[in-house]
Amino acid sequence: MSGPEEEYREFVGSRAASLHRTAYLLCGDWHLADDLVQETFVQTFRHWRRVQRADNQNAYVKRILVNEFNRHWQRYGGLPVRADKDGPEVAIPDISNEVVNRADLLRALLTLPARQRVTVVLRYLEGMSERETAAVMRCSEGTVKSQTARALTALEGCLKHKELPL
Amino acid sequence: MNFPTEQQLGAAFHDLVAEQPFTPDVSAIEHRSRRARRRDRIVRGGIGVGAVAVAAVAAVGVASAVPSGQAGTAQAVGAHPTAQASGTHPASTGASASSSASASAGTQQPLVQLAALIAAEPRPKGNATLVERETTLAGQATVKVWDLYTDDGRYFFSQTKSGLPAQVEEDNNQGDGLFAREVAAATYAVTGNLDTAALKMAWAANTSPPPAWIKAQVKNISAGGLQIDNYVWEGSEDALVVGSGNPQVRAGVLRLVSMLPGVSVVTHGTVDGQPALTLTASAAEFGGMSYQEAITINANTGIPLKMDGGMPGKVATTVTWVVTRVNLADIAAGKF
Repeated sequence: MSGPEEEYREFVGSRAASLHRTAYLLCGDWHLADDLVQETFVQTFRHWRRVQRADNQNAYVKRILVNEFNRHWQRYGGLPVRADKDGPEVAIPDISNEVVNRADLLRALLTLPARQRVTVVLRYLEGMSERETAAVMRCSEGTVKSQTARALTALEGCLKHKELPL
Repeated sequence: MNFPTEQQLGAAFHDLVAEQPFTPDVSAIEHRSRRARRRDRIVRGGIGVGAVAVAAVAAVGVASAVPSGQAGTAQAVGAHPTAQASGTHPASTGASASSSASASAGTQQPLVQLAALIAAEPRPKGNATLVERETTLAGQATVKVWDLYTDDGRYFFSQTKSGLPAQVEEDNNQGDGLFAREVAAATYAVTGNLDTAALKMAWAANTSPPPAWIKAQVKNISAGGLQIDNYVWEGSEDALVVGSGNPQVRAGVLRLVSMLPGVSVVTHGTVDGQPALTLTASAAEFGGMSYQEAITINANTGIPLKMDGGMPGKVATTVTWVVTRVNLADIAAGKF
């Protein structure tokens, strides 16, 4: 196997799990997340030299994932194909002593507008700064701030479902 | 927004996505990527990025080759893939056919019989096939480009007819070996073991030996819905374009397609004056997607006429061709 292919495979191996988690929170369906990530890696392969030259490869590939998610969003008009009003496809255990009701949170996340959803997932799952998030989303930091604030307001009800232990 | 809320959200997100294993199928990714890369190059005849995305799913195009020295022939305007007409399959109208090749139990015998008839045709004159390819994407302008496939495996491309001689003169060969491997797989299918041929076709996009996972799929190909089904279909489409001037290649493609469980075969009477046969591949060949491709071929010669691709009942891409068998020297000299 040639050098670039080996590097590509290493890259896939090192980023797959992280991308998969992000994709799931964006779409709410593990199967669809599989597809989004596979498609992201296809795009990455096709533009591998460009990815290699990128200052921030992680941000670059995340942007591809977000683009794939947006494409899916536009094509299927909002909610993920498998997510319906009854909740996500995969059953999420609702442990009684859990601080946050995970099913409620995921359902609330999936009802956010796409941009807000992407913003909070990048900020709070990926731990990206406002600047990094803005770079991935190709928007201003101000937009990230405003999108984050709106999303957090919408999600706050789920987070305040039970009191936070101090 | 206060910090504890943000901190809590981060923890909740991590909790939501915990313990879900994921192993990307790197081989499949690379396979699809190589094909998509090549299609980017092929489809670039003026179609936009959106079109490339469509074409990455749809067929590259299927050429109609005419076994004569003259241009002309087929520019089909056949029916929508879902507009299937009933009729008697031309290969089952009494023509006897025989082949020394082994055929799997799941093959569609009418296609196998037609393949045997086609394989007996003489090879046409010329040393290359010129394809005037016209692609129409729903709601967008039609784009016409020129492909030239030489019998020795080279591929020349031009957005204009007048630009093609320069491409040949400069030997601007854009073939990367894939076409040659696909043609070889189809040719092998004429007399070789079909399982082996399917594996060759499925793995033609790669230069490395086929890995165990795809070898394992060969014996289950009749079950449908496997990656190998999709790969064989895509590779066969390519081979039908590239090798359309060679009856052996067309015959081999039909034999390979006959293996695919999700391909339906329907006759159409005539399309643009030619007896037509449509091969429709659907979910089983596209990984369960709600997408299908219908290739219309001449029912007697197997020469491809057109391809319709899209969601069932909604054609998104139509490709038609006018093809000529030519001599490369004539193209270089502008005599065509």
